[in-house]
Order: sequence, then C-alpha cells, then structure tokens
Amino acid sequence: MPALLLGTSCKKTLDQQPQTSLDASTGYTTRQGIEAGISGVYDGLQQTGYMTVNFLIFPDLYADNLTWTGTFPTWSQVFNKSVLADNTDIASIWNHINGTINRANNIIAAAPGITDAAFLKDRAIGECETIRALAYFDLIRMFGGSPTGYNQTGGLGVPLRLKPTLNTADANEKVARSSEADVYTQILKDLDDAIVKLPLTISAGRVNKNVAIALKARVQLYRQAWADAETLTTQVITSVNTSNALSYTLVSGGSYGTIYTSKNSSESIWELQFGATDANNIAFYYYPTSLGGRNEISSSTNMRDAFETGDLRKNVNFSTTPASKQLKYSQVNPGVDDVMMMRLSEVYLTRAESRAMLGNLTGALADLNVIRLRAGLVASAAATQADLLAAIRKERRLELAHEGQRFFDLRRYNQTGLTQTFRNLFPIPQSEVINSGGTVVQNPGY
Amino acid sequence: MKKILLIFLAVCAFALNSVYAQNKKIGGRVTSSDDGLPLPGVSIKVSGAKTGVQTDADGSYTLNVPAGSNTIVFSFIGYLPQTLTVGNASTYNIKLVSDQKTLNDVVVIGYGSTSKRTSTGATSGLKAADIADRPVTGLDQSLQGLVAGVQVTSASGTPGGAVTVRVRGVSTINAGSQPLYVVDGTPIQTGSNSQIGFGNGQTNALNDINPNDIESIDVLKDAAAAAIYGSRASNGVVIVTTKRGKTGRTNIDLDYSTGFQQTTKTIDALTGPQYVQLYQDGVLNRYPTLTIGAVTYNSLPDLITRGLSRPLLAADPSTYPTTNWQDQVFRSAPISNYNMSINGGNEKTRFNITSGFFDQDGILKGSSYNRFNMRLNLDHTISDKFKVGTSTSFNRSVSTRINNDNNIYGVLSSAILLSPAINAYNADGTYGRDVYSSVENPIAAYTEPVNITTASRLLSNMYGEYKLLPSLTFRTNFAADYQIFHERRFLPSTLNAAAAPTNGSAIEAYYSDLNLLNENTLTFNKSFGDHSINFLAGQSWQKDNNETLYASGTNFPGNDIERLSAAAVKTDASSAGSSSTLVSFFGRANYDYKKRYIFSATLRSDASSRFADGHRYGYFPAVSGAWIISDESFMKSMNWLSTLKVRGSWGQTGNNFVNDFASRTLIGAYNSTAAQSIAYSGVAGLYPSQLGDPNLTWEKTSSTDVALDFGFLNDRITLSVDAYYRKTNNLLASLPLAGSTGFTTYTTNVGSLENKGLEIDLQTVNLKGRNFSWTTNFNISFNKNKILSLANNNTPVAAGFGSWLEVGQSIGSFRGYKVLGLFQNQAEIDQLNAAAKTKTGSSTALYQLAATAPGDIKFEDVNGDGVITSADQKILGSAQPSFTGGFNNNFKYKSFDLSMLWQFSYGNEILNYTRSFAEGMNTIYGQFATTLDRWTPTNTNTSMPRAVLGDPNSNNRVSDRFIENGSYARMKNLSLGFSLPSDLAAKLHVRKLRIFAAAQNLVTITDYKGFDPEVSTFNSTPASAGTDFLTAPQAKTFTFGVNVGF
Repeated sequence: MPALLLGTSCKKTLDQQPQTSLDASTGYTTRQGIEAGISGVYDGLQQTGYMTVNFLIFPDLYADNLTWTGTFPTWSQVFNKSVLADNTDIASIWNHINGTINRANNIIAAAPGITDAAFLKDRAIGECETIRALAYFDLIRMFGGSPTGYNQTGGLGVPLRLKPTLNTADANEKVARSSEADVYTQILKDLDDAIVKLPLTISAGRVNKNVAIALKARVQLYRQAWADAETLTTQVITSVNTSNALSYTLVSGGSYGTIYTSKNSSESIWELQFGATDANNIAFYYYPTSLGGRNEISSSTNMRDAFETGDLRKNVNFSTTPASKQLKYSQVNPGVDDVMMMRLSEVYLTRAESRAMLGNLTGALADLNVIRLRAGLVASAAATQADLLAAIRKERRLELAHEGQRFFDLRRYNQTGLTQTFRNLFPIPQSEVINSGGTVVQNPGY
Repeated sequence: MKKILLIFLAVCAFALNSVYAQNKKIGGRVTSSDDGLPLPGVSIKVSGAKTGVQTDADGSYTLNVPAGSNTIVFSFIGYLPQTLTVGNASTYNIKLVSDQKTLNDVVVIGYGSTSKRTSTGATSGLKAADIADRPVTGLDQSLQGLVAGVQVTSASGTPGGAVTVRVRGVSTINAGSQPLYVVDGTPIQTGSNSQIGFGNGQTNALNDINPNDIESIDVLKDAAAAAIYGSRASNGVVIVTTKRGKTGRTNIDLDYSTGFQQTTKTIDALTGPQYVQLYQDGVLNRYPTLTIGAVTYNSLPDLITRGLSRPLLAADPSTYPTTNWQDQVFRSAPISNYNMSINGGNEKTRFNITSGFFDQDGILKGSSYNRFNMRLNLDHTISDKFKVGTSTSFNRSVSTRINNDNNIYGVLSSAILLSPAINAYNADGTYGRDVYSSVENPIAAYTEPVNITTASRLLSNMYGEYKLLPSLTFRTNFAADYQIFHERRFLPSTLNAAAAPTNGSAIEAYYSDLNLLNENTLTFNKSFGDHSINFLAGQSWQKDNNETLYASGTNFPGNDIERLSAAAVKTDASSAGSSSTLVSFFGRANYDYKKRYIFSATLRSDASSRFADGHRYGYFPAVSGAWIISDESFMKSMNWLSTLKVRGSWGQTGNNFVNDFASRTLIGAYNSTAAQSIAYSGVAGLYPSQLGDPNLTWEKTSSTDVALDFGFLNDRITLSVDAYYRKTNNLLASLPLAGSTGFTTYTTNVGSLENKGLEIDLQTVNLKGRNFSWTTNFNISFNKNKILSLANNNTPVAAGFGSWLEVGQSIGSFRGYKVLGLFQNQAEIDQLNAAAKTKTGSSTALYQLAATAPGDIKFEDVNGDGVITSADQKILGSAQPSFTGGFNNNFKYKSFDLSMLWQFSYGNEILNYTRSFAEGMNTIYGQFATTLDRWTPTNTNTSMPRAVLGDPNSNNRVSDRFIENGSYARMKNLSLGFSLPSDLAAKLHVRKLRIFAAAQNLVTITDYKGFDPEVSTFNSTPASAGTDFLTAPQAKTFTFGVNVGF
C-alpha cells in the first residue's frame, strides 16, 4: 500500500492541512471571513495586556487610585514607580496593543476587496479604523508624549504601521517611532473617516458613530483642542435628545452600581462584552482570596478619602464588602464583567473641562453638576476657572476610577508628582528595542 | 551478518539431509570456568542443526545427536562458544570460558546490527543487566551516568515526570531537543501530551516502555551511526531493543521489589515569630514615615488603617504560631515494582510474554504514578526463507498529579510561599489560611484537588522477512503507535477560593495520537575472499494524526459529582486536530577488507509535510571508516595491546521537530496559548495567529568524529576516546519580532551553533577470580557549546527568567545584574546619585532607584554611564556543564554482588529563582531561614539585603545573587544482591533465586543551596536550561527485592 502511495500520491501524502486555522491567503477573502476578523479585532482589545488587565489597571496603580497588595514583582514595580525596561507586563501591553492594530490593519486592507453585496463595507472599515485610532492613542498615552504632558513640542510617538504584516518581509521591515504629532494626525484621520462611515445603529457592544465622535473628543482633550472637544462632546450629548436608536441617559445615582452589574446600561456608549466562554481576570486580580481572587491590588485609602460624604459612587469604588476593593468588576469566576470603553459621564466631564478651558464657566459648571447631582452630591459652586478645573479633575478621578484613565489624566494636568519626570512615560519594552535592532528607540532615562 | 547467513545456509542443507538419520544420546553438565558454578540456560546444538536444547537449573543437559554428526556447539551469552567433538563416550562435562572481549558485543544500529569491533560509528550501549532492578520509571532515567556523551537530567522529582536527555550537547534553540527513540525498529512519540497546566509539571510518554522489557539500549551519537535516521537524528538516536523469545525450555521469571522514598533535602524556613518580625521590618522599611494630608503615619497600626499592611501581622511577633509546611508536604512514600516474564519456544516459534506493574507514590503528598503493561514478542519461522514476528505492548498508566513549580496553588510551592505564622488547621477543623494571601494551604493543595491522568498506549509492529536469494533479504515492517491520553481535573469548593470558584470547577481533556509506519528494506550480504560487502536500501512512510478535545465548566452541585455533565456553566469547549507525514528513502553500503579496513556510507532522503512545497526534501549523507591496526602483522608482537582501532566519520543529520504547520501564515479561530476564544459577543472570530516563513526547512547538523578504541590484556581493559565537532546550521528558531509588527515571533531558519567535545569511556575487569570479581566503568564527557550566529544581525534573545542567547556564549547562559554589595549608609547612595547627575547631565538622574536605601543591593554600573539601566546586565554563568560522567563499579564475591554507580556534573550554574521569592523579603510570602541574616543597621556584615515591602530597589531582579554553582556528584545507585547457589536453588526447584537491596540517590555532594542540583524547571526549552523555580526534588529511594526464575 505505501509503495503505491509513493508514486503520484507522494505529494498528496505530504500536503497536510491545518484543521483549526485558515491559510492567510484565503482567510479574509469572504464576507464571513472579514466579519469574523472584526470579532478578532474586538478580541484584540480583550487580551490581558490590553483592556482586560494590564492596560486597564496600571494607569490607576501608577497613580493614586490603587495600592499593590499582591506578589507580582512586575506589578510592584508599577506601584513603586520604578518600572524597569524588561518588565514583562509592560511588554505585553505593547505587544497586545500592537497586535490589535495589526488585526485592524488586516481588515482595513482586505475589506475593499469583498464584493458580496450583503457585506457592510463602510461599517467594517469604520469599526476597525476607530479601534486602530484608539490603539495608537493608548500607545501614545502610555509610551509617548513628553515628561510634561501631551501634545508638547518634541513629544515622542510610536512606530506607525498602517499596513498588515502579511509575511516575513513585512515583519522584518524596520519602522522607527513617529513623532507624537504625526501619530495624532493618523489617529484623527482614522476617526474622521470612521465618523463618516459608521452608522448610528449598532448596540453598545460595538463601535458606532457616537463612539468614534466621543473618542475623538477624548483625543482632542489630550491635544488641548478645547473647541473641537466641546463641539464633539455636544454632538454626542445632543444625540441623547434626538429620537434615534441611541438614546443615552445617565443611570440614576441610586442605581449607580448597576452600570457595572447589568450589561449595557443606558449611559454606556461602548462597552467591551464578556461572557462565560470569553471571560476576563479583572475581578480575580482585585478580589481577596476568600472570594476567589488573587488580592493583587486594593483601592487606595487616598481615593477613599477623596469622596465627599454621601457620594453614591463611593462604595462602588472603595467597597466595604469586600473590604478596600470595588464593585465595578465583581465576577471572579467566570469573569463576565464588561469593561467600560466610553460612558456618557466621561463625555459630560470632557465637555465641562473643555468649556472651562474656553472660559465658558457657566456651561462647564452645568456639565460638572450633572455628574455631581447624579452622584448624590450638592451642586458645585466653583466660580473661578481654577476652582472649576480642580473640581472637574476631582470628579473625573472619582467618576472614572478603575477604568484605566487616572495616570493619563494626571499627565495631562502635569500633576503626576513623579520626581523622576522621565518616568511619566513608561519604558518602551526592552524586547521591542532589541528586536527592532535599535530602530525603536528607548524613552530617555530608562 | 555474513556468518549468520552461512549458518543459515548450513542449517537448510542439514535439514534436508538429516530427516531419516539415526540418533545417539549424550549428556553432562556445563559449568563456568570462573567459579565452577553450573550454568543454566546454555544453548547446545549439533553443529548445523536447527534444533537444540538448553541446560537446566543445575547445568545438566541431554541431547540427541543424529548419526553422521559429531560436532556440538555450546553457547551462552557472556561466554565464548565451545565446540565439542563427540566420540564414543556418552557423558561430556563442559567448562565455558567467559568472554571478555566486549568489543565483540552486538551493536544495534538503524535497520540492522553490527559488532562493536567492526562498527565505524560512535555508539554506546547498555544491556538489560546494566539497568536491572533499579526503581526507575522510564528508560531515559536508566541512561543516567552510564553512557559517555549522554547527559540525563530529571526535570523534577515528580513521579512519571519529564526527563531531559542531551546527546553530545544541545544542537538546537527552539526545535525539539530530545533524541529520537526507536523501539524495535519503530520511531515512537515522546514528550508530554498534557493539555492542562500544572505549573511546569509535565508527563513523559517514554514511560510507556517498561524498562524491564528492555534487552539493550544503543545510543547512536555521531552522524555515521545516526544519519540513517536523517531529519530526526541530530539530537542523537536511542535504539531500544526489547527481549525476545529464545529456543529451549520455557523460563518463567518473577521479579519483585518494594521500598520507600524520601526527599533528598528540606530547606530551613523561618518560624512564625521570625516571619512576622521580618514582615513588620519590611513594612516599616517601606514606610518609615508616610504623610498624607496633615497626618504622618509611622507605626504599624497607622499603616494598617491606610491599607498598607495586613492587620493580621500587627501584633507582637512572639505571639504567632509556627507551622513547618515542608514537613507537612513531604512524606516517606512507597514504591513497588512487579514483573513477570515467560520466555521460550522451539525452532519454529519463539515467544516472550511479559507483564509488569509499577506503583509509586511521590515524595510530595498527593502525587502518584502507577503503570500496568503487558507485551508479547513473537517470532515465527514459516519456512527456511520466510520469517514473521511481532512486538506488541499495551500500557496503561494512571497518575494523580499535583500542581508543581511555577504555580502558587502547587504543593511544594505553597509549602515554601505560605506564611509559617498560621496553623495548619483552624480550631474548627478547616484549613488554616492566610486571608491576605492567595497562596493555598499546602495540605489543601494536595488533599482537595482531583487531578487524574491516564495514558493508554498500544505499540505494535509486525515484520516479515523473506530471503529472496541466499544473499538478499527483503524485510517489511508495519507499526502502529496509538495513544489515548486523558486528563481530568476537579477543583472542589473546599479549596482556597482563589484556586477554585465557589461552586467548583472542572476540566477534561483528551488527546489521541495515531502514528502509522511502514518500512521496507532490502539487504544484500556477500563475501568474496577477504572482501565483504553489505548493502541496505529502504523506504519508509510515516503518518501522524492527533486529535484533542478540551472542555471546562464551573458551578457544580456540591463536590461529589466531578464530571462536566454537572457543570452549570460551561466555560470552554474546543477541539482540534493536526497531522504530519514523512516519506523517506535511505541506503547504506558497508565494505571491509579482511575485517580490518572498514568503510561505510549512508544516505537518507526525507520529505516532511511540515515544510512548504519546494523545501520538503532533505538529504542526509554520512561516510565513515575504521582501521583495526592491532590486526596488522606488525602489531602482532605487542601482545599487551589486544585491540587498537582508529575510526572517523563525517555526516549530516537534521531536525524537523517544529509545529506541524510552522511554515504557514495562518488565520486562527482559537488562541491556544491563552486558551481563549477569538469570538466576540457571540460572533465567530478570526485573527492572524501565526506568521510563517515559507522557506522554512530542516535544521542541519554536520558532525565530525575521530576516535581511538583500545583493548589491553586481551580486552580486559578497553578504552574509547572520541573527539567530535558538531556544527548546526539553519537553526530552527523562534525569531523574536518587534511587537509593533503585530507578532512577537515566527519560526525560521537562522543562526548556527557548535558543540565540540571529548568523550572517554574506560571499562576494566579489575579482578576476575574464581570467587571474586570486580569490574569498573568510568566515563567522562567534555562538551563546549557556543552560539555562532543569531537572527537580526546577531541580536541577543532573552529566555526563561534570566536566560540569554548571545553569539559567543553557550546556550543556557544566564544574564543579569552583578551585585557589588550592600549599601551601608545613605552617604554612599548620595555620592553615587551626585555622580549620576554629573555624568548624565540630568538633574533628576539617580544611580539606582528613587527609594534605594541602606541595606539595598548596589548593582554594578557595567557601562559606566553613572546610572543602572537595563544595559548594565551581563553574562553571569551558564547551565552547560564543563563535564559530566559516571563511575560504575560491580563487585562479585561468591554469591554476593555489589554495584555502585556515581554520576556527576561539573561547572554548570543554576539560576535558583526560588530564592528570589523565598528570600525576597518583599511580600507576604514565606521565607527561608537564611533571611535571618538580613541587613539591619546593626547587622551590616552580610550579603542578605534588608527586608522591604514591595522591593522598591528591585533587589530581587535577576542577578548573580541567585546564580549558584550547580556542580554535583551523586551516588545514583547502590545495590547489594545475594544469589542462591544453583545447587541449592535446584533443591528448591527454582532455576535462580536472588535477593537484593538497593538505594538510589543515597549521597549527593554539592554546594547548591536549593533542593536538588538535578533540576530543570523549563526542561523542554534548552534556551532556559538550569532554572530552578519551586521544583520538586529527586527522591532518595530504598528498595528490597527478589528475582526468582523457574
């Protein structure tokens, strides 16, 4: 029998095919393939280095919202503000965000070639452009900018790769870091294109037009483009009052915890979806052993003390049961808590800050008080721009605690308090510097 | 081979002639000329006859000699054959002389055999007697210390666990690095089939071969010997031959041994009060004063209110209890081995039926391994020309496994890392736990989880051999290697909630693998006067198909139903399959002149499905030669030199042990490394899962071997000296990529490395008396490994915890920071910080880190830029030993036998990463007693840094602090036996009776501070060899046994 096989069928014997993968040449050539590929882009956000653990937690741990109470040396470095360039958890942030970009690049490159009439080409490209913009923005927030903040002269960027890595030649092409400004240009280009292409008709689980607009507002806030940020946030907030399918409303203060415990609340603009077969470890890292967690981190008493008496958000962010934890991520096993990518309250706070910066103190105060009143607090009476900004910044900290924003906001205000200012930028992973053959240059100081 | 053929022909001729002849009956007794004791089992044949008889238990025989025949041949393994010419007498007592010419031993090579004397390749062999009665699980362990050039390291002391075998150094970085194992002609699957994580606890498919079934093990080390296995041979080839039936009376052998095992070492840990004191020191060192708002905190109670300390560790240290967790987890564990064999046959059919049961509990509670196996080896002669046979074995092992190594829910790891300051049990009988730590109570860790792994394996081959011409033989071999591997885990709610969800969780995983093989060979043997030739031509076809199934779930109705049917929430269900094929042609030509000048050449062509079309075919040639100088007439006067042989070889071998589809760029639906679905929100997902190099092809090793074989005093002393140089090109490497490409790695051929070495193997018969004999085997191997080139213009690659690949260094080098000492005062730090500001020109520059304080480690500023950065790391050592070897002595006095095997490794370092946790003094982890010598303002003359929570100076970064001398010498085996004299045995109606006592790992001489210098946490990855991270030590084993033969 084998002797017979040797002749003509030798080649056939040697042609074995993978059973759980598709060949890259055929994977993204059909509508079904591309649609699954878009799921893959969202899945990129769900990687541990990105929105499910490291990138979600480190911005609070590197700032004043979290205390390290665990055992991982890599996390201890973050809490101690003494991150080394070979920190493997920082490397996984870099690798997972860049991997997500590559997933998006694949779809953006392949989608125009799909001729299936049922394929929603614009939506597909818009979703991937929005996520790519988010990913580059997140890289800038962590690894780029200047020690004094963002969008300063000479700010450092990251390598821009806008074409998919399809073969080893692509992979071996050396790409150096672009300037921070060039990366913003690309981010805004993607978002502008996405805003045009995206419809208003998708649920909070996926990127839609308002997500792209709200994200662009966040970018403009970092770029101190106050007027544009004000316009964009207004567009999103106005859409609350229009009668389209997406009608965002803030959840009442008494039900504040349900934003996190029930999926896709009325103020959720974009929420990364998790389920039993697609779970995360966020609550696991927070929660104590007795509840099935690893007790790696706890909410800081510094943050607890920042809450005013009667704040309805306090127990969600600094819980009494379990002690010193939070209730935003409470499902340890399986970890089905969703991750908030964009909420209406952030949009209000972004507009408040932009208006304050533009001198529209009345408008700013009104937006601030929307958030304060919802939290069960009395309306702020801040009258000067400085007082108002301080109040908005405090509210932003408490409203968005545990949502991966804190340290980046402190960088925006240039108030991180780090004596070694080079540490305002995280180190480019040593592996990246080495494996790019030095093309990707380390941040100064590391 | 030629001899065999001639005998065969004579047999045929005789068979035709003797059918109607008259017989004569003779008898007598056969004894050994050494000690005069009777020899049972001696084969006695009329010269040229197929039929024969064997001596019985007291050495007696009777034989019918056909009329016309008068030549009788007596032969027995280990003795020189003796020919008797039958005269008129009817009783002939024979004394057999033992054969000391080990160089005449048969050497099994690929697709054939040769004698050690005429072999041109570098091979080393072991016989059944060398490995008998040792309580080892697998044959890989039994190679340890006995074979020059073969370095064997058990990854851990876990029963049934992984073993690393390196033949002549490491010749690969990322591809498979274990040798190819060929059992009775069939290359078998080895390695771990485990799909469930146990830290690094792996399984070992090689344990499916019962060592007691093994007749011989031959290790093919150089290309001359191994190249016939082509693309799979560059890590060496281990040829295993199992025992086959012998013509004659039916022998029944029973072997039983039993004993117990203990850990080779425990490590002193802190007491509860000492631990609490250390923890409190650490907290106050971290927060000497803490000012928040207007309030300054500087006492433990204050810090507790700030959430910066654990309330449970605030009281007077002396009030805390002590639990020695290591004492709780180690035990004296039983081990037993039962074997039975029935061996016999007649001229047409020979059989060997064996069955065995091996039962071992681990020295760590909760772990065990047992194996049941049975085998039938059958050979049948259909006609003078046609022979068929089979080797068929079935094996089933059941192991209960425990989490191990890199896993905070493991048994040994939790025993090291859990605070000693809590009780083993609470007053209410529940497990004592540190509520601020996720480390499990070690007792719960071995008691509560259910981890059962069963491996079933059917390994069978059938051969047929047909003599087409007297000199030409065709042989075909069909083989199937079928494995079913099932793992199931149930984590009940009684576990630490971090280790198991409130309502339990379970995983079940199936793996099945079917490997089919067909090989066909033609062998041609011919002699013309002084010239002999031997040709082999063959073809092989092999296909491997494997399937996996994996499912998990949570939320069980209590802890009594452990199977997934009861899980309310199914968290994963996935299946996969993969396949590979190998199509090969091979040939060998041997020529010798007067058995004195010997030449051999081999060539194999392999085509593997693992590579893309156009890169599939590989050709692996080898040439070799030998000259037996001692047979020259000009050497005849040198009587003391019985053998002098020079041999040399050159050849190429390959390595294709990469993933089945490593050359393909793939879009995948499941992230197997993260065990994660790519689907999002119920919509199926795909992602670019693998970047492939379409030009991927074989890794190729070119080897040159030059050797001298000496035999002195009629080969009473034999010495082999082999020198080799092996260079591996086109290394199959996981090329690390800049993460900004979207990938972190792809498999490609890049880089090269070399191994050069020297092997010395000395075997001596020191004493050979009537009552007393003493033989010695000493082997020592020097190997030097060097990386010659790497990818990305020789960009170094980090691996493991502190391992490093760099051109000019060996694989398994360690890299990290160099410790200069401890900072003794603040002025010293200030001075360096000031210098850092001057050198860098930055006003915020610091020598080390912001929180560096007296008692912290001062690291070396290697590049002299004034600040400690990642660039200040350097090579700190290597896991590669300068030399390894073994020293084996066998003594015999009358009926007693004693053997002692030492095994050693010198010049290797170990990264003792366990200490970076257990001497870390930075968390709530339990600590070794060595931390009592930590730096304090009053204890400054020490190398142990201060205790400080969170380690703000990163004292625990990889540095030479944790790199230790890993050299050791170990008494691997000591055994003492007593055999009942055969005349006494005969009275008891037994053929033989022997009782013995043995000890393994009785003595270990080492400076290593960890549990065991024989360790390899990342055993499957050569690049991160020699790392010890919470790995279970080897057992010290004492066994007692009996061998009875009927």
